Amino acid sequence: MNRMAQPNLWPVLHTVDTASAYKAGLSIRDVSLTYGTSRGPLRALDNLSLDVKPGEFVAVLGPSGCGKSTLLKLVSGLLSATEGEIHLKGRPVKSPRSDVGIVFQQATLLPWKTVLNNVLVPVRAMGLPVKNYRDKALDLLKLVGLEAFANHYPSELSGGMQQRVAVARGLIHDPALLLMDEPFAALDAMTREHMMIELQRIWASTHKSVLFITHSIQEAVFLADRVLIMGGRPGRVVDELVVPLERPRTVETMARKDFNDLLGHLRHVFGEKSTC
Amino acid sequence: MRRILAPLAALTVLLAVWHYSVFFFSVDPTVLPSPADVGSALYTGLVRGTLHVHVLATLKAAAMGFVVGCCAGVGLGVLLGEFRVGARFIFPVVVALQAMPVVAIAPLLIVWLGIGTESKVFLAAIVCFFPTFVNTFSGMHASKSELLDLYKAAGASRWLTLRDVKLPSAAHFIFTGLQIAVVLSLTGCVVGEFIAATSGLGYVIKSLAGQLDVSMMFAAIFTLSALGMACGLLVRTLHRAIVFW
Amino acid sequence: MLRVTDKLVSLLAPLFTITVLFLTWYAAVTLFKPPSHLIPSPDDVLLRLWSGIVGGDMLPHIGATITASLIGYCIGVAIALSLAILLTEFPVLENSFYPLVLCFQSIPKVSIAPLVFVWVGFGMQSQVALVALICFFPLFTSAFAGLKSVDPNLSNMFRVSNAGRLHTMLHLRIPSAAPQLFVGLEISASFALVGCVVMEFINATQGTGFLIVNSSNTLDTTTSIAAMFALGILGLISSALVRAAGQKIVFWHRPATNIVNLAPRSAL
Repeated sequence: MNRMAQPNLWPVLHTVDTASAYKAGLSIRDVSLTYGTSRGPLRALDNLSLDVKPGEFVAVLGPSGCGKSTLLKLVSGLLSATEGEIHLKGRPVKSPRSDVGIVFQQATLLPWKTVLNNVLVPVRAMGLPVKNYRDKALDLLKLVGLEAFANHYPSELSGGMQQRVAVARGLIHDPALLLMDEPFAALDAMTREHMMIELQRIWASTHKSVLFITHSIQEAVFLADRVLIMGGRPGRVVDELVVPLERPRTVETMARKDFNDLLGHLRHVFGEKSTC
Repeated sequence: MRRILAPLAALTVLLAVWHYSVFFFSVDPTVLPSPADVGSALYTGLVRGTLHVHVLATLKAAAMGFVVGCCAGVGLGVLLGEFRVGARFIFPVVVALQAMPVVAIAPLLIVWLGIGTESKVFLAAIVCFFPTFVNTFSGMHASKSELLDLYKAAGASRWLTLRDVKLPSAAHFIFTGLQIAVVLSLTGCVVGEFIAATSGLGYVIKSLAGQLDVSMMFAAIFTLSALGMACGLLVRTLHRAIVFW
Repeated sequence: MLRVTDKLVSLLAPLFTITVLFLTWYAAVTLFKPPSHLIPSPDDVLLRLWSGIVGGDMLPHIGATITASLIGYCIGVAIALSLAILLTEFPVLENSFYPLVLCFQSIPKVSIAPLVFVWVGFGMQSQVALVALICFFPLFTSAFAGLKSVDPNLSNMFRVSNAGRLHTMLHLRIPSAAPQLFVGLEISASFALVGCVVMEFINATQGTGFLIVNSSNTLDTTTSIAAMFALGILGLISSALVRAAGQKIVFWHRPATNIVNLAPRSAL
């Protein structure tokens, strides 16, 4: 992270308390990943470090091809790093583990299951007793505003509603960390703004740590406590920005000057540092 | 309304052209019988029942062949879809076999299984196997990778992933295969009956050709087509009911 | 490096399977010694195939099958293409005839073989007629679907620039349909052999199908299986030829490397 050379509009605050992140949140230390491909080894991530404190909302911002999704697969244990260590709640992540929830770019619900059963999918997959989680699933559906649709099939829901089901599904097993991989990228602009406000509300009432991957500067600034800027091939964190806007952020926030200054700053950073 | 009327009108026109051309050119009924002749042959065959035995024989053999061939096709498709090594070794061979005319094996079946139901069933099963196998195998690779990731991340067992994600994702493909197979089972059965049978619609059609009873041949072919359409419709209805999403 | 080994493995794996199958066959025959009119040993079959081709006694039969299939294929393809173009150009025709054609599709076409025999009689014409009939359907349905799948934006673009019907057909619709067309052509190619062989079962005095029936009637199973092998090779070659032509002609379309796209095939 080369922060010295750049005149920061906002001083980057070193508020990451590594010790506490190590205990309860997510801690990624010097992680690299190399794929073997047909044209020889390809380095997807290079010495990447980041932390997410308990209850913190961190956005990872970068253009496509930066290894953002690779990062997500590493944290969820679907891939294992070539070098470096990942700890979640103090325990190393080496294989898939049950205390992360994932929300993908597409809702990817099972079209042959009802909304309620879709929310229960992770419970089923972990081999836990589905019965004990029914009430929780209904509560989550209420939280995402879809309690009336519990017995509908996904094809009867709009794209935004499907994505809200996916968020409920990501939260059903009470994970320590929610991973979101460009969850709103497939939605239209109007729905996306609405979903941003919804997600903030859901996050505020669940106190989960969130690692939110996106290529939208606006999304990142609006939602996150902290924005990590990824760039370069292989991917690494090139800069960091703490978002000082107070919560809850609203539609009015998006029109404010300080919000737009932050956007401008990030665009400037991208112009200089991110070379994807 | 229009979608029903237009083909009906076309059908009427075809029948009329058929009827009047036979009438005007006074075509020899051993070459082309009039629609009325075919109608009366159908009446004799289906209502008075001279074809009943054969319809039943064909239907039974085709159904048995269909069940055997499709079970084998779906089973092997799922198995090879699950295990990549098997897929690499066996799938290309099956695809290559598919480009070959498998019904050519029919005369050998007489040698191996004799004249009768077994040969027909075997031939029907073979021809049903290929489309169901290829479709099932393809379907096993049609699950969304995110869903597989989700199950993997949750530490789900292979069996649960198969049951919850892969099989339902493959269902549409499997049913497409079954739809193709259902008509093929009749085809295989009929070819078997051409060569190695003493009953069944294929046998009837072939032996009537020797007697130049063309109206009854038409009746038998129409019956067979009706069977084909009915079975196809049955499978399609099942497809819609089961793969409702 | 990796890619080369990968290709090699995927090429060698099926060959390995075939070798294993042959060896099992061979072992079973040497072990259980079944009478050769039931199950001949594989080396006998291969030798018979070799002598049939080099010695030439199978060549007229194979030649007859190739000729009849090829002529029937061309006729069926020509009719199917013209009808597909006609139906997609004129909505009235489409509304009235397309459902009928779909209905005819669920007829087991080979069941018409004896009727064709009555109409056309002994000789190659019968094979040609049945082959043409059987080739018609897969090609027609895929050509129809292809001609219908033209990108509406492009279609509008042609209409806005006042392109004539023929021009639109030649420069937009047929090229758009080409990938699907070749799928149909490939299926038809393998169907052509089936139709030809079934007809040869019934009426012919020549042809590979005749050879198979005739030699299994005389319990010469070795010849029968050798002839089947010849047919199988013909099937492989013909579909490989059509596919190669398709890849060359429809160069802009990436053929289905994905297994999922291999699936749907139409019925005989």
